[in-house]
Amino acid sequence: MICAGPLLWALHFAFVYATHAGICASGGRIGLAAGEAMPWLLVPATAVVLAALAALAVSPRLLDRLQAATEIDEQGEFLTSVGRLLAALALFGVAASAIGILALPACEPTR
Amino acid sequence: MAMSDPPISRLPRPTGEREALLAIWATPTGWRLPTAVNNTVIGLFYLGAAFVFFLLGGILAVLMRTQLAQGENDFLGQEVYNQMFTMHGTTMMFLFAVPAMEALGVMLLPQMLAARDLPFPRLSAFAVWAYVIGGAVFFSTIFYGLAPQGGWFMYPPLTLTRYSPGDNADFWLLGIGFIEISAIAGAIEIVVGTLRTRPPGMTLSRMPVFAWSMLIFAGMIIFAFPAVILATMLLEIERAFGWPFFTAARGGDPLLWQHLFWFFGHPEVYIIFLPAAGLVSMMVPTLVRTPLVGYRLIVVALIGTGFFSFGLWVHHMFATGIPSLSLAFFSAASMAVAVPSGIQVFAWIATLADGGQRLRLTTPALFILGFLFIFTVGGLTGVMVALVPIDLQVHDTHFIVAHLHYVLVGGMVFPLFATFYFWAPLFSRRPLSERLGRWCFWLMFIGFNVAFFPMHLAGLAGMPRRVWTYPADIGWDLPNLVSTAGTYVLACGIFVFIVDLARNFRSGSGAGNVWQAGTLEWLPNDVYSTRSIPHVTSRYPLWEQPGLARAVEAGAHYLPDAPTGTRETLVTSAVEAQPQFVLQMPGPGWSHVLAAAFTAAFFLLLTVKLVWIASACGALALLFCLVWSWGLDPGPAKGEVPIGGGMRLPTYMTGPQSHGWWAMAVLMLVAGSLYLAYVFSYLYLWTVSPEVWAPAAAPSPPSPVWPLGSATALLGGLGFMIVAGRTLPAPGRRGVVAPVALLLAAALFVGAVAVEVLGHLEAGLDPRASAYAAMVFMAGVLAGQTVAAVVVMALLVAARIIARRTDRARRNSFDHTRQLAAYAVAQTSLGLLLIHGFPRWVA
Repeated sequence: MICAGPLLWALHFAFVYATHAGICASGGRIGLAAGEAMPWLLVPATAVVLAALAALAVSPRLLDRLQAATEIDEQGEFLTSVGRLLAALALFGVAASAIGILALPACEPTR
Repeated sequence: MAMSDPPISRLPRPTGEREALLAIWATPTGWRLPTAVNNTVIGLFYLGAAFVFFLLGGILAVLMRTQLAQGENDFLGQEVYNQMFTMHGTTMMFLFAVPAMEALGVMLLPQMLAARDLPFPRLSAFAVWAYVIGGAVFFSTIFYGLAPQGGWFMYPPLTLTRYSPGDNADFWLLGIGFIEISAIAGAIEIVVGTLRTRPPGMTLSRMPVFAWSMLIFAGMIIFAFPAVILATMLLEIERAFGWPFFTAARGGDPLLWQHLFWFFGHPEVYIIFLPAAGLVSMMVPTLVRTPLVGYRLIVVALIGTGFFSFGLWVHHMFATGIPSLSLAFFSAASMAVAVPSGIQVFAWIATLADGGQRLRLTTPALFILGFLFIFTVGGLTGVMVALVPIDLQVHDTHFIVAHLHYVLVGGMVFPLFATFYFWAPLFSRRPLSERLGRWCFWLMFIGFNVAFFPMHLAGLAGMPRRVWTYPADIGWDLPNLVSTAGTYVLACGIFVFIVDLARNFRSGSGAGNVWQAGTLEWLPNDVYSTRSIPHVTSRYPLWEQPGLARAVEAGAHYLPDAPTGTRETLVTSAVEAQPQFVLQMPGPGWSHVLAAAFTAAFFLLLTVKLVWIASACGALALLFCLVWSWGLDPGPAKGEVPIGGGMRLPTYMTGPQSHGWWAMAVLMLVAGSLYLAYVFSYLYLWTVSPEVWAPAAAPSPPSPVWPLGSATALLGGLGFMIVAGRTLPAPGRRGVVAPVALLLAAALFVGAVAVEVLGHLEAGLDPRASAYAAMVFMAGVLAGQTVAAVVVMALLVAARIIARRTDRARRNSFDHTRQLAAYAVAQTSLGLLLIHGFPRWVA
């Protein structure tokens, strides 16, 4: 579970890329106007993941519970701190990727 | 544990005990040498072969640079040049870089973990032989003009039959495709080895950084390689049978290849870099006699890099017209991945600073400093090309050639040479020469920068990649001439290394701990590795546990003998490294060597369309795999044995704690990744070409009776597997019910696949007609592949039960077969849902 942070990053990345690519590729076929659908799907998903990652990074007890650690020992402390640092790194990664959602048009190619 | 601490095993050890270890672990000699499985022997062979491929790829580079030294040169013709750049890239990436890192893992990991060998010695040996034979035959194609010409990444439509007739592309697809099997076998070894064969006390927080980097390396191989394996299968099937996965006119898409290839291709370069970074993290602390600064952060950086590298692949496709928001995701991730790489660089710099005056500029230190400079320059240009507008300008120019060589040569080759000079004393009676080492370094460092820096300028001036010549007098001549001169200087540096190797490397007992390093690979060792397996209480045991070396050598620690009379090592728990059982391992043999040779022959003969002979070789490969498997799974007959410290451990383990269970779990992850890549491909092609998808444009999906029949057969097969598990005979008894149940299970699994395929044929679907049809039948191919493996295993286990080699207690061979069968049922069922459910849902 020390990889919980990067796993959340991976799930978020897969979700935003697949959703974006699928909506753009399908055009109007699946009944969604791309420009309308994109923010409503991607922004909340990103917010949830960012909140989860922040919780993992800030709270050692959350990771301890995920690891089912019953006492803090050298090994448990090491794994928990690695997990928190990974969550912080993942938070940075998610935020970096998500900036584009706010700044770029939905489906246009680069000009 | 100091010599004065109470020993874990009683001292002095009995006479003859060390001699028994020597006899059990002896390396075969003479004509039996190819049967050797010791990790040090196999690892040296592996590394030597990888180095030979490095030299061969390098010679191609020198020839190409000679051609490019001036414009409108005619030293090499266009077709030869195209084969050369393809072979240079393919050889360096597939036959040198990854195998070299695997080889170092095979050689060094057991030593660093004080394990007597890797957990599956014959599997490593099989992987090496398959790689050496296959790689040699593949490389030889350049001598007959049969080498592939499509670039190392082999994009369709150029590599489809229409534009690449002949066997050239097939050599790549079939040759490299099966070498990837070697990489996956290695990954299985490394995962199980690092997580389950560490010495007692070596918790994850005390594990050497190289072990962390190899664990992540193996994890990345597990998830990245299947994508390219699927891609090569699809392209080869399209070339051989005309199934149009990549042909736009029939609903395919060449971009699908790019997605699959680069989903592998980007992690591939981090697969190459991370072990090298791990090696640097081992060498730097030793060279300055200071523990690594930021061990925890480096572990975070390694894991972070491993994950982030899977989110970068579209940066190789910025120029393909994908929407800009998609590009932004990958551009951001490509910049983000620089952060964990930077963390490692700063940690090394901090460690060097902490060591201060203690750093002596020995050859390994020089190569590490060279690596820091070159890799950082490459990383900076990497951040540049992560920006889409810059990449659009420099894509497919020599700027990218410069960038990739700075990161790969800087990030892997320089650490590799540092590794050669640093760890040679472990495997050679004499260390390599410091004087020749300095010459080697300076020639390589200067030569490399003179060769590759001007390529940034040539690229910015517009010079494309992969061109066999260029017009004279458009301003490209000078940078190219300078690059060629630098290449010759670089080649001289490598030549100096070869001279050093020839003069000084003498295989045998090592020269000792010449660096006064703190990690376990520097313990006194012999063919059996260490005399006893140490109890570890720190990250640098030789620094922080005084007297450890003498205590281990005296046999004072765990397992100073061979209680089962076979090759053994300790298996410990994954996190806390608590001893769990004694692993009995097989020794030298011919079956895995012959299995490797015939596997290579099968793939390579298929390439030249000699189908019957290829099939015969395939059958022989299977036969030798069965012979090999027949001798495995020794069972619990030897009971529990003492290992020292008052502990008695079992010599056989079943269930999720067994090492085989873990290996099978890793294999299932590989198969699952491949299947997910297939599901992605199916959905991707639907988004691209809905007009060829059922039910609108193709025959409607078959009646639900067909998939229901198939699913029933799958469940029936699984049911019979469960019955077989419940009716395994008692030890020593023969049993009939279980073998019959296994045969019925096998028949039902085959029937399930047959029903599925027949259903589509009956519905009038032709796999050549459209990408949709091809994808439908591809599900059948993948199901058939998995089921075939299960069937072979089930028949083997049935035979073992009849021969009284598998029973209720001696059951790993059955349990692992059932594991794979459960996976096959799950995968095939998902396939049925996709193939029969998705078209109905979108309708």
